[in-house]
Amino acid sequence: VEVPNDNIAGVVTGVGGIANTNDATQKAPLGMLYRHKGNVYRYVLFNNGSGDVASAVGGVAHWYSLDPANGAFTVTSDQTDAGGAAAAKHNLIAGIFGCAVTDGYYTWIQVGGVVDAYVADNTVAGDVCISGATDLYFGRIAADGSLTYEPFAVALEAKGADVTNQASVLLMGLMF
Amino acid sequence: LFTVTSDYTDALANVNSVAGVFGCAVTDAYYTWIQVGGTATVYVGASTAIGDVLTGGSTDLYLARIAAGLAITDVCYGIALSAVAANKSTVRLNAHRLASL
Repeated sequence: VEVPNDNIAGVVTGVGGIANTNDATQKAPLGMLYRHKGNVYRYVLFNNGSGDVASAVGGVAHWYSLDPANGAFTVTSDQTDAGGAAAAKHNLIAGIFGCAVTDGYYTWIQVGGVVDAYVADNTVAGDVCISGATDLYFGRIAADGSLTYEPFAVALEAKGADVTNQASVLLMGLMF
Repeated sequence: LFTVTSDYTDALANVNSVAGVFGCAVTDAYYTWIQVGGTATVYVGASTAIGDVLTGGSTDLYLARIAAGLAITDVCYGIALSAVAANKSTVRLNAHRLASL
């Protein structure tokens, strides 16, 4: 497994720059889970979908193709391409992008732990984060509201508290 | 004790006690591995579509379906990755619930 050096774009952090992975060629087994600094990541292939939706740090990734038996772990930033066909679908969230990944490249998406992610308007701490209809964003169910979609995270703070349009969320249900 | 059954009416907790997915026709009282994570081809309810929530059902061997966007009234054990065909769909199993992760 190759985890890039953190000395990327002049930023030196701790050991390992897993969030910045943008591999032109496959450098780890697809689908592999990797625990790093208290979070968990999965190695995947990125497809920006029919809408050529650019991925972004903190963006929600959806499954485009998931067929572990045949080695297919492909995610997309294009919500309407979730499941591999252009139609609105839900409950197919794969994880969170750690960087702007090039279409057709490989990356690690975060599937466990805490991360800043794009969330729906009015999100506050304790809200349930679900699949939404906006590319890269979680949808929202207010705490104590009836669940209508599978929960994939819980918000730990209000939207925009630290990062514009994002909130710190605790991921769940993305490892298998 | 880790004993599973194919008989829904004998389940410990009705629809909310799904244990996993059989990989073969197991002889009664024999031992086997059941799948509790990853993707599997599973018997599902009629009209199951991609993205539907799959819960325990009252039909032996089948998961029931809650269409995406409707109230989730039972534990979700999987998400449909394909529409039902010949009574089965490809399902992403919720390992965090089936394996108690």
